[in-house]
This record gives sequence, C-alpha cells and structure tokens, in this order.
Amino acid sequence: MNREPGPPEPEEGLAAHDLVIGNRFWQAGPLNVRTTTGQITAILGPSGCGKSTLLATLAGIEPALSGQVMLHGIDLTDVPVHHRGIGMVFQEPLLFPHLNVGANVAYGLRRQGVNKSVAAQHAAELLDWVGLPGFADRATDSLSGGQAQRVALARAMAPSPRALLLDEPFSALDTDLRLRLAGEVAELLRSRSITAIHVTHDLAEAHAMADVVEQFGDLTAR
Amino acid sequence: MTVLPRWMRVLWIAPAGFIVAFVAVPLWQIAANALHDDALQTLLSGSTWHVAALAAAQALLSTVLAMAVGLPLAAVTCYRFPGRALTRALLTIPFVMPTVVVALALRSMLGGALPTGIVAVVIAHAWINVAVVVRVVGSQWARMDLGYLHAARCLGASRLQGFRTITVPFLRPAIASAATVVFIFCFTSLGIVLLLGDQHTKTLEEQILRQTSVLLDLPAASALALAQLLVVSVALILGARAISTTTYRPTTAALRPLPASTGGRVALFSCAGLGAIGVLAPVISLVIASVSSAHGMTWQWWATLNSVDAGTTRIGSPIAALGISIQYALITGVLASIIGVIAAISLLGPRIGRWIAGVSILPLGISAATLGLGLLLAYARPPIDLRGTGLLVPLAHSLVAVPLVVAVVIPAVRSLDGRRLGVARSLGAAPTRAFVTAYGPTLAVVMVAAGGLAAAVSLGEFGAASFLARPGTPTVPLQIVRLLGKPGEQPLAAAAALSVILAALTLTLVLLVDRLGRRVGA
Repeated sequence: MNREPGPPEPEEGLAAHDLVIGNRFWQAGPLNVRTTTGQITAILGPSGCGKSTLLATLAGIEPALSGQVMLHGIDLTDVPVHHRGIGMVFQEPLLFPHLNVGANVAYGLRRQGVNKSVAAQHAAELLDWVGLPGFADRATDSLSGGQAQRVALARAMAPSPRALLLDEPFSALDTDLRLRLAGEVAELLRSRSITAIHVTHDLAEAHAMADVVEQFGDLTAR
Repeated sequence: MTVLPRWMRVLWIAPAGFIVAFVAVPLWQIAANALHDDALQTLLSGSTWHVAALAAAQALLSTVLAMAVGLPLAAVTCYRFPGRALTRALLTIPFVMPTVVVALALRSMLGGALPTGIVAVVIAHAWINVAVVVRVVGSQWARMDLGYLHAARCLGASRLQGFRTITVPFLRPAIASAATVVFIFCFTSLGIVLLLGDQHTKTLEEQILRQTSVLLDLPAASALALAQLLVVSVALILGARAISTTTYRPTTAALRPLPASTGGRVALFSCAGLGAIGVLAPVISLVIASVSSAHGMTWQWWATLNSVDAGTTRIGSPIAALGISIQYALITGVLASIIGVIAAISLLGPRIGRWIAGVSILPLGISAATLGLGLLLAYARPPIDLRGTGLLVPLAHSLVAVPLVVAVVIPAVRSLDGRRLGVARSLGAAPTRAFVTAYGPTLAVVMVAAGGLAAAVSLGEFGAASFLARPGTPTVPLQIVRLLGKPGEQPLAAAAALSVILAALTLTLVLLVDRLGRRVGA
C-alpha cells in the first residue's frame, strides 16, 4: 500500500550515510538509509542482522563507528541522545515501574521543563489518542502487553520528536494482536505525519505498517 | 511437602530451643532487670538519651560517608574489566576484619594524623561498611535493565537526569537496606568506639559495657540495652518502610562492557585503584607496625609473643590467647553450623519449621553487648552458672553467627533439586536414605562452609566476649585491646603482631568459605 508522496520533491527525513555500526567484536556497514519526511519506512531483516543496533545508532544510544546520521539535512552524528529529538519505541515497553501511566507519558515533557499540570494534561490527551482514555492513574503493571506498547508509543510521541524509531515493538504480542496493532499504530503515526523507521523480521507486519519496505541486506549495496 | 523424612520434620525443635534458651530467656532477663525502679530512671534519664543522640549522629555521619565512597565503587563493580573479581574481593576485606584489628590498622596508618574522636570513628566505620554498600547496592545495580535508561535518554533526559529519575529510584530499596544495616552497625559499635573514640563518640553499647564491668550496675546496663533495642527497632522499621515494593523486573545480572570514552575508562580504573589502595594501605601499615621499632626493622615483637611477660595476665602470653580463641572458634563452628543448617533445612519441612528459619535470623538485630549481658544475667549466676564451663563465650558467638549461617545456607537449601529425591525414592530408597543420597553431599559442603564462617565470626568477635570471657582467659581481640591499654612500645607492637595473625586466620577462613559456597551455589 505505497502512497504517493505529498509534495512534488520529497524532503529527506532521517538518513544514514556510510554508517558503520557495531562494536569492537562485530561490525556492519557501511549502511545507507534514506527516508522521506512524514513516511513510515520498514526495514526488514532476520534476527541478529543488526537492525536493532542500527536503530540504537540512529538514536544515539550506540556510537557510530564511522559515517553520519542526518535528520532533515542536519548532521546529528555528534549530538548526544537527549538532544537529537528522535523518539524510540523498544521491543519491550520499558515503562518506568516507579511511575504511573500518566507520569510515564509525561516523562519527556517534564525533561523539557514543562510544568507538571500542563504535562499531565498533555499526557491525558496522548492517552486518548492511543485509545487508552482515563488510564493516567493506572500502575504500569496493570496493563496488558498491547496496552503497555500503546503507552510506550504515547510516551515516545509526547515530547514531539522529529522522527520516531520502532524496534520490533509488537514482537512480544501474539500474531492477531500484532497485525491489528501494527495497522492502528500506522494510522496514528500518519495522523501526525511523523517520519518513522520500523524494523521487523515479519513481512506481514512490515506491510501492515509501512509506506516503503526495505531489506536490511540492501542497505549496504548503495 | 514430603521432602523431609518423618523424624527430620521435628528437627526444628533444636534451633527453636536454642533461640528460646539463649535469646528469649536472656532478653526476658534484661527486660525484668530494666523494669526495676532505679533502672527505669536510667532508661528515662536525659544522659541515656543524650548518648543515644550522639551515637545516632555518629552513625548517620558514618552511613553517609560509607555511601559516598561505596556508591561509586558499587557502580564500578557492574563493569567487566580485568581485575574486577580481585577488586570486589579486596573491598570485602574490611568487613570481615575483626573490629579491633581495623581500629589498630587505621591507627598504625594514620598515626598522630588521626585524631581520636568523631573523625577517627566515622572513618573506621565507613572503611568497614563500604563493603556492605558495594555488595548490596552493586548487585542490584548490575541487575538493572539498561533499556530503561536508554528509553529515558531518548525522551530527552541527560545522563544526570537519567541517573536521578531512573537509576536512583531503581536502587532505592538496595540503598535503604544497606543504609539500615550500616546505621545499626555504627549505632551499636563497641570495639571501634573504645579504641578510637572520645567522650563525644559514646554509644549505648559502650555504656552497657561500662555499667556492667566497671560500675557493676546490671539493672542500669539492662535499661541501656532496652533503650538501644528500641532505637534499633525504630531504625529497622524505618528501613523496612523505605525498602518500598516497586518492582523493577530484574534482569539477570550481566556485567556491562567498559565505557567507550577514554574519560569513562580513566574514571572507572581510578575508582577501582583508589578503592584497592584504600583497603590495602591500613593493612600494610599494620604489618609494618608489627616489625618496626624506634631503631628500625625488627622481629623481636614476634619473637616475644610467646613470653608471659609480654602478656596482660600473669598466666598467659599473648600467643596463649590465640589458643583460647581457636578453641572457642572450633566450638562455635560446630555449634552454629549444626543449629544454622538445621534451621535452614526446616524450610523444607512443615510451616512451623519455616517460621523457625525466619526467627533464627533475629539475633542479627540484637547487639553483641545485649547478647553478652543477657547471657551474663541468665547463665552466669545461680541457679545456672556456666562460667566455669568455658561455654559462655562460644555460646554467645554462636548466637552472633547463626543468623549469618542461616543466611548463607538458605540459598543452598532452596537450590536443592527436589527431583533428585524423587529419583532416589523411585529407585527404592527409604525416606532417610533418599534424603541423604539426594541432599547429603550438598549439605555436607554447606555445613563445612557454615562452620568456617561461624569460626571466622568467633575469632574476631569482641563485644560479647568482653562481657563473658574470664579475666585469666582473654580471647585474641580482648588481648589486643588490653595490650593497647599498656604503656610503651612493646605492647603496641605485640598488639599489631597479634592482629596480623588474627587477620590472616580470619581472611583464610573467609576465602575458604567463599570457595566452598561457590561450589554449592550459595
């Protein structure tokens, strides 16, 4: 279900140029990733090929061994994680257990200095947006797996990131729920026209989510 | 559960009887004495609570310093680097060192630079208890899923904010329990306070000893013991409250790779190095002190350890105390390992047994002086006078050791694979034989390890022994303290030499226990 890009000349979103990822013992690359602003790009590859490391490197959690990470034409390679403005949803929801659902969603806003009540209100709106109205006061361990990932999505979107990375966010869920949630999340992301990269090993999930589907193996070819 | 053969299901009576006879009865004696008219005045008097306040302030300072030094070191032990195991082992040394040896080691390192009083006491307490912080907080820290931190960083948290908002809440229960343990240790400190303190560092523990052995006012001593129990209980309750129930799903402790940045590595290695130096320097100074005199290096202090003239009693040399200590340590090792292992095995039995296993940890919260005083009141005067038997000190040491033994044995008992028992039974073994076949080998190793641990505790124990040992038969720590009270160069050097022997014995035992413990996964 590829869409026609809106503007005549699509603007470059999040990109990687000759990016080498890995550590002392294992490397992959040079990789070239190109995405278009406002589109969802899926990167498909088998487990252990380095998809997660690629996302972690784009987010700044892992350092790039060489090459560049660019967002809207700006070089982010040396910008620390918390200044990149790139949100991420992980395989596990990783909701902070000492905070309730609302405080989890408000976490990013609080780090930007937004005051508590404004952040809470914004968090409530985002919970509405992901279909969990009134969940703000719930404890994180009272959520189902699907609900927890929705909260994780709301949390990642709260500080208005300029791009969003999704690292197999549905892999812990069963097949039915996974595809349904993938479709819903794709709709939500499109409603906000956010640039997103979604990595997965599941072809059906990739097609349920993405505008563009790439193979991880093809990233080295360019 | 049908794990235990029938006759073993009543074994819990042994530890239960032990606890009743040697903890409950003595505590009751203390309470009975303390609720006496004059004693009540002591309990309610301003000076008692003045000492309690001084001790609490001292314990708070000590806890803060131990945390300040221990937390960075706890973080360091979460990384995988060459020398990590050694660093961790070194950092544990101060905690297993007898307190009088610690005091002497710090004194011989800092000499005149170490003013007696609050500074010296706080430094010594922190030096000992950094190990608690490193062990308790470090093992929790290593279990933290770094994913939470990554998530926080992606949401715009700086490194520092991530630490404050994610790591600190995660560590809070571990920090609270370490702080509680350290606070109680410092609040009820005796040996350090006697050797390094002044009139501003009194503890109730020290006052209990003074009332008992100098002023011979047992009711007043009982009142002080009661006051101390009250404060310790409050600390335990506050601590238990701070150990909140937030459940971070712990991941299996996986050591972290070295930080990528040069700065990070330099920081890590300098922390580890400073920690190691901080531990080793006083120990080395102690060894040097035992072979130095005003005229240079000498072995004369070691050579005269055997002479009666060098001792503090007319009948024994400094080395004679070693014989007494070893004898007590052997009795303690046997007694505490039997009681402790039976208490831990009770976990496998009926409900009451499980309850006993829990209760047997209780003496941990009761100070050495309280145990000593209680035993003195209950069993050192008619109708039951055990002073002549030489059993009082090992009994007290067993009380101190049993909780530690139980804490070491319980994980081993929990890890026993019940299926082995089923296999043995299905092959036709009778219940007792099946139990021995399935669990015997593990329990035998655990028993030896537990005995070694108890013996190590006994060797270094000072508080209870100072109440119960008879003047003619001092244990090594008592002998060291007495030597330090004598003027001149020789007693000090003899104390240092004796301390070196005691420290070496204790460390050897602890190393052995650690080895054995690892073999059975305890």
